[in-house]
Amino acid sequence: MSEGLLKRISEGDRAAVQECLKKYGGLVWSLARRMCPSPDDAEDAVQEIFIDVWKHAARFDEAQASEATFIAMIARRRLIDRLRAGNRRLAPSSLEDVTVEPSDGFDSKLQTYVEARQAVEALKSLRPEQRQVLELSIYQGMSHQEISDRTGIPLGTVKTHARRGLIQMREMMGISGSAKEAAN
Amino acid sequence: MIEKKEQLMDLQTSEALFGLSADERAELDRLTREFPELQDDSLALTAAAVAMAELDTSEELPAHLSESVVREYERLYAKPSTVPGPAAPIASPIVGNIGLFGSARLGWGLAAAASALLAFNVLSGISDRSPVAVVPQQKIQTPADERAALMSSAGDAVTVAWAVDEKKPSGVTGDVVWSQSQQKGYMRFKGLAANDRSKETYQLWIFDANQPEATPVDGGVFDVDSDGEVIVPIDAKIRVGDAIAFAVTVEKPGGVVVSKREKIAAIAKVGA
Repeated sequence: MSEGLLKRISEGDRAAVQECLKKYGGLVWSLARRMCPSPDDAEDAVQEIFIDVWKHAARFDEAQASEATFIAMIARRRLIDRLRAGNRRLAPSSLEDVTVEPSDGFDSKLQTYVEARQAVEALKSLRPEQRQVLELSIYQGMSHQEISDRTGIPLGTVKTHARRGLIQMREMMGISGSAKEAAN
Repeated sequence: MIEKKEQLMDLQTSEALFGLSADERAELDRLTREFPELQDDSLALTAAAVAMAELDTSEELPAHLSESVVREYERLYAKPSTVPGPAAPIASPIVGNIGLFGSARLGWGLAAAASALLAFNVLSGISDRSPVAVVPQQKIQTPADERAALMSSAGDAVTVAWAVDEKKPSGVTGDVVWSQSQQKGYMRFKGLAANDRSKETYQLWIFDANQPEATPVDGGVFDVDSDGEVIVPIDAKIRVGDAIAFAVTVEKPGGVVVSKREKIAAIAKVGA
């Protein structure tokens, strides 16, 4: 039974730790490989990420998002911090045409991650410039300034697209948040 | 007021997408303290869901890394008295008198591990760290408990019965439970004859579909001191790619690197 893994971890259930690694280890490893310059760096990052996961497990709220998304959020925060500390960026694998389609490149395992599927659909619904900003930041690890430099969009507009695009996606995906009233 | 809230939202967006500088982090923390009702992970969760959509998660977390993460968890959160031993038999009524490399050595190993952890915690001050939650005392797991836990937790765990040779029945029954993803398993025997450990030992071999039949994976040696039900943890020396059969041979004490397969005590074939 995978439901409530993080709750069980927060309560000191060590069997849940093993289950968590089995269920979400591939997800964290994939994120780390994607956002780290070397396998060694990715291994260090994975260690740090799971320490963060154990530490924050009690904060997980199943009404807000799935466990997979919560763990991915913790992973991304750690990985972004590492990227910034190393002044690095993700490998520019496909800068010319960053798109996500639920086709060949969409791993079947992710079919279980409902929110990832929703994200693909939500991305499609954004205005092209909003989508471009979000994809360049999330998939390419670009900063506001780098996106502005690359696309020619003024820096302030990049920030606006990022915020509005992300808020719109959040609404479409039904991810709850206490700060919604301040978004409008 | 509205400006501050807008700034807070901008910082939350930046945190979700780009990360924050130290100054920005300090400002976000300050504004969050001022408007605690606006503390919110929803934008970061949204960005994480987008990031997941692009991932190829076909590669599993490497086994050594998974083990390392568990060790780190144990180091940070487990109490010395609750440190579980390696996947090996601990005193258990159902186990009988198994000796996996000798029970005395295991006992010393467990004691040493617990002592080392205690010493490390004291020296490094780890015991003063505040864990997420109090880790409750847990009962010592027997191989039977561990086997049951593996069967319930590992979605890919297979159970394969020892084959019965009707022409030459050995009287050995039981099964093998193996999880490919966890690289973990247990053998259960009834009727496996006790061995004279001064002369011979049992040794498990795991046949891997990705490896030549001549070179199965060494699954560890073990001794049996009683004819009752025995549960033995599998101790694969290297990663098993795709287990298709398990065979127990009788070998010289300590085991062998390559078995002549002269005495086969039990065989279990996956899918047979």
